[in-house]
Amino acid sequence: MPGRFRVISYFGIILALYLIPVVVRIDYVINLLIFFLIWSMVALSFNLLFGYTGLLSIAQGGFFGIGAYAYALLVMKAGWPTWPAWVAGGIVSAVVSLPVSAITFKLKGHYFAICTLALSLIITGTLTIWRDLTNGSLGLVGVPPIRGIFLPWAGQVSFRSTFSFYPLTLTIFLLVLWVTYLLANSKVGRTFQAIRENEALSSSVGVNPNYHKAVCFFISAMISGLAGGLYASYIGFIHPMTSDVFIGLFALVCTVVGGTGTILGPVIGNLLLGTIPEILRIDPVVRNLIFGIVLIVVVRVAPKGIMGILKAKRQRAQGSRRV
Amino acid sequence: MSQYLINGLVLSSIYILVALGLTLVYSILDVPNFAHGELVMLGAYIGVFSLGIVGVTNYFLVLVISVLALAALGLFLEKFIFRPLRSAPPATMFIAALGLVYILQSTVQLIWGKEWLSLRSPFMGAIKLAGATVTYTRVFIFSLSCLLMILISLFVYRTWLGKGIRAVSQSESGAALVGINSNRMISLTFALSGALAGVAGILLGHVTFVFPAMGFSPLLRAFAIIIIGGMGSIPGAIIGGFFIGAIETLSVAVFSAEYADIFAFGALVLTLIIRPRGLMGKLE
Repeated sequence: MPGRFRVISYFGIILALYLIPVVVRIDYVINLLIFFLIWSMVALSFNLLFGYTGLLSIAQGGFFGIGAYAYALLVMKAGWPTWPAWVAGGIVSAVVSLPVSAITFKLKGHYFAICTLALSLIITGTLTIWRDLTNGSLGLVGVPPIRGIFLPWAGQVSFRSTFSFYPLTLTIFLLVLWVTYLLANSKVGRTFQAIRENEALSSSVGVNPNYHKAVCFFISAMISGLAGGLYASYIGFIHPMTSDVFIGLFALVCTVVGGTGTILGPVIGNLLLGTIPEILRIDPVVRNLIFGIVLIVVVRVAPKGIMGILKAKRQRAQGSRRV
Repeated sequence: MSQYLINGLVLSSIYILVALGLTLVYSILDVPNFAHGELVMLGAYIGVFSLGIVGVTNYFLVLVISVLALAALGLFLEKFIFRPLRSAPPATMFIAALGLVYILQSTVQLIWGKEWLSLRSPFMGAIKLAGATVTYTRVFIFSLSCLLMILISLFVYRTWLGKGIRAVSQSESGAALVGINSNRMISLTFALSGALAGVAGILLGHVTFVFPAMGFSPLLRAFAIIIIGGMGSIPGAIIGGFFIGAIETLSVAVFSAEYADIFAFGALVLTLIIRPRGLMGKLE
C-alpha cells in the first residue's frame, strides 16, 4: 500500500470513529463503545509491559483502581477541579508503580507474575479496609463527571451525556495509541524489546534493564490510572472491585489473543472478546468458556495472536507476488 | 481465641494439601499451575454429585471417586495441554493454565449452576477442647490432611518412584540418561497433584460452601504458602502453610477478616523481597 494512501485511510477511519455518535443515535451502542475504549487502554498498558518488555504483570487492575479512586477522592474530598484530579490520578498510579518495580526487579519469570498478582490483591484489600478514606466496600457514590471544556468551533461542550463523553474517550484513546506507537518505534521501545529478548545480553551492551523496566512500568501504570479516572468519571460510582484482579487478567486475555507485542493487537482482542460477545448478548458463562478455549488454541496454534496470523498471511501474499 | 486457633489450624491443613499439589507440579515442570484451584473446586463438585448418588453412608467411596476423577483429569491436562507446550516460552504455560481456569469454571457453572451447595459430612457431634467446640468433621479433616502430608513426604523422599520424580525435577536430561522415563514421571506427578486436589476439594466443601469460584481463594493461599516455604519444597510447603495459617488467624482475631488477605499476601511479597527462594527453597 503506498504511503499516502495509507495516511489518508487512517484519517478516514479516525474521522468515521468520531462521526459514529452523529449517525448512531442509540445510547446502548455508544455506551458499549466507551467501555470498549476504556478497557482497550488497560489492554494497551498491559501490552506495553508484557508485549514489549516481557514483564507478565497482573497488577494492571490495581493501577486502574488507584487511578479511579485518586480521581474520585481528589474531586470529592479535596475539592480539586476535575481535570487536574484526572491527571493526578494517572500520576498517583505511576508513582505507586515505583515501589512495585523496586520490589519486582529481582524476580524472574513466574515469580514476577505471582508477585504482581499479590500486589494487585493487596491494593484491593487496602481500598476495602481503609474505610475513613475510601468508604470501604460500600464504595463511593456520586463521583462527579469530568468538567466540560470550551471548543472554539463547537462552543461549550459538557461531558455529562454518553454522546458527548464518547469523543473525549476516543481522543484520549487515540492519544494513548499514538504514544504507544511512538514509544514502540523509538530507541527506548527497542531497548524494551532487547530486554524482553535477552536481559543479560542487553545489559552487556550498556543497557540498564532495571531502569528501563521501571520506566515501562511507570508509563503503563499511568495509562491504566488515567483509564481508571475516566471510568470513575463516566460511571460515577466506584468500589474496591474497580481494582479487581480480573481487570488485569482480561487485559492479558485480550493482548494474547489479539497479538502480543503488536500495536493494535490488544484493541482487536478486546473487540473480539469484550465487545462482540456483549453485542451478541452471549451469556457471561459461555463467554468465559470461549475465552478459555480461545486462549489455549491461540498459545498452541498462533503464539503471536490474530495480528501474527494476519502478518504471516500478508508476507505469504507478498512472497508469491515476487515469484 | 482458641476457637479461632483451631479453626485456622484446620483450614490451613487443607490449604497445605492444595499447596502440596501445586508445589509438586511446579518442581517438575516449572509452571505455576493456575488451574489447580479449579481442580480443587471440581473435586468438591464431584463430591456433592457422588454423595447424592451413593449416599452419605458410603462416604469413603465418595472420597475415592473424587480422587480418581481428579487424578484422571490431571493426567488428561498434562497430556493434552501442558505437554505440547513444554518447549514454548515460559509465559505460554502460564497463559494456558489461565485458559483452563476459564474453561473449568464456566463448565461447572453450565452443569451445576451458580448456587451455593453444601457438602454433607458423615460425622456428627463435637468435642470440647480448651474452651472451643471442635466438630468431629474438623477433627477428621485435620487428621486426614496430616496423614496425607506424611504419606506424600514418604512417597517423594523414600520410594523409588519419588526418587524418579525428584530426579526429573532436577534435570530432565540427566534423568533420561540413567533410564528414567521423564514423561511418565511428569504424568505421575500431575495425577498425584490432581488426587490431592480431589481430597482438598471435598474437605474444603465441608468447612465452606461449594460454588464455582471457591477454588480461587485456596489457590492464592497456596501460592503464598509455597513461595514462603520455597517453590518445589514439600517440608517448606507444610511449614509455610502453618505459618500463613497463624498469620491469618492472628489478623482475624486482632483486626477483622478483611485484613487476612493483606497480611497473607504481604507476607508473600515480603518473602520475595528478603529471601526470594523462600524458607526451604533450593538455590537456582
